[in-house]
Amino acid sequence: MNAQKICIPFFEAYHTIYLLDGDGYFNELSHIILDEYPDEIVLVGIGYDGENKRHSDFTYPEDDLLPHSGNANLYIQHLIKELIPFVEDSLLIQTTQRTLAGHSLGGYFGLYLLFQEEFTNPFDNIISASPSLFWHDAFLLGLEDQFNSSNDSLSVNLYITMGDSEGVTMNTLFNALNNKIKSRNYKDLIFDHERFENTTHNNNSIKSFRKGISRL
Amino acid sequence: MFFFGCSKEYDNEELANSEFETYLNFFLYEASIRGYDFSNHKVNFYFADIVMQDAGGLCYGDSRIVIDRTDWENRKEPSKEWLIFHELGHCILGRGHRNEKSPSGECLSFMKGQENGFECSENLYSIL
Repeated sequence: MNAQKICIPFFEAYHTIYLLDGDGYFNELSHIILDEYPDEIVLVGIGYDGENKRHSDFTYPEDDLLPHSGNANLYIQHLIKELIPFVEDSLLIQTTQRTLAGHSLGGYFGLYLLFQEEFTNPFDNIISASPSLFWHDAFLLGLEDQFNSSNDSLSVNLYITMGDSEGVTMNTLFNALNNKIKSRNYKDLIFDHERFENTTHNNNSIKSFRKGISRL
Repeated sequence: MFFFGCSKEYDNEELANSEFETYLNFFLYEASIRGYDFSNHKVNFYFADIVMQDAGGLCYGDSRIVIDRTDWENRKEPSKEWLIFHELGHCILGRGHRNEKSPSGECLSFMKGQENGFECSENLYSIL
């Protein structure tokens, strides 16, 4: 894992967006940000030098059906202990707020980070596009239950999206998670969810990132 | 691309199952979530130099997938995964191309092809 490119507008303090699957999405999203938020946002695209390990890095727990999966906790530690300090302390980028944006397994990772309790969530905002909520028999729905049993507040601005053409499984789990979260009435939570019409899995990434950033 | 025939459309093939193992496993995983077990469906992946223009991959029958070396090297994630899922859609699911798009021009299926000059957008909201 490494930060591939960093766009740094010359300004004092920035909203910093950490983009998962930066290999695939950084180029397009950076153009949008430079066009629409030229002096406000630093975009950090997180990608891979060699072998892509998103199936391992973005998932937890390990699932026997997918060898080498389930290392999201290591990835969280990498973000907290290495990448964010590198951006803020080594590159000296003052941060007004941090956003994590991910699609598919990346969207799942953002939600896992939010509801796991081993590490403190370092992000103010999470954009979760087309999250792979099916992972490990919908593990995340149970994780949210567990989180709720010991927490009545959730300090984050959360935006979850799904395309209406992503299939029954994806949309059913999307509905289930949204209904759970809404029913909790978490303090300090700003929550919005959206289903885009005529939108497939492939098409829901940049669309969601763009809309998600616009509402922050 | 989807071919039932066996005529050579490529050169310099090389068995490369290990390169694509993760994608195959994830496809099988996603299938299992939806109640399908294709774990006994054997598929072999090959790198080759595909002669056909604009073809990143080819499926032959139900068990042979050929991926163009240059196309693969130039692809980023998650586009690599989408290509493999597309070819597995042919080989394992037996699906042909589905060339449909929304009124705004967005692709409505992973299985889109290029027949009759069909084009659709996988990123309508890009400004590029």
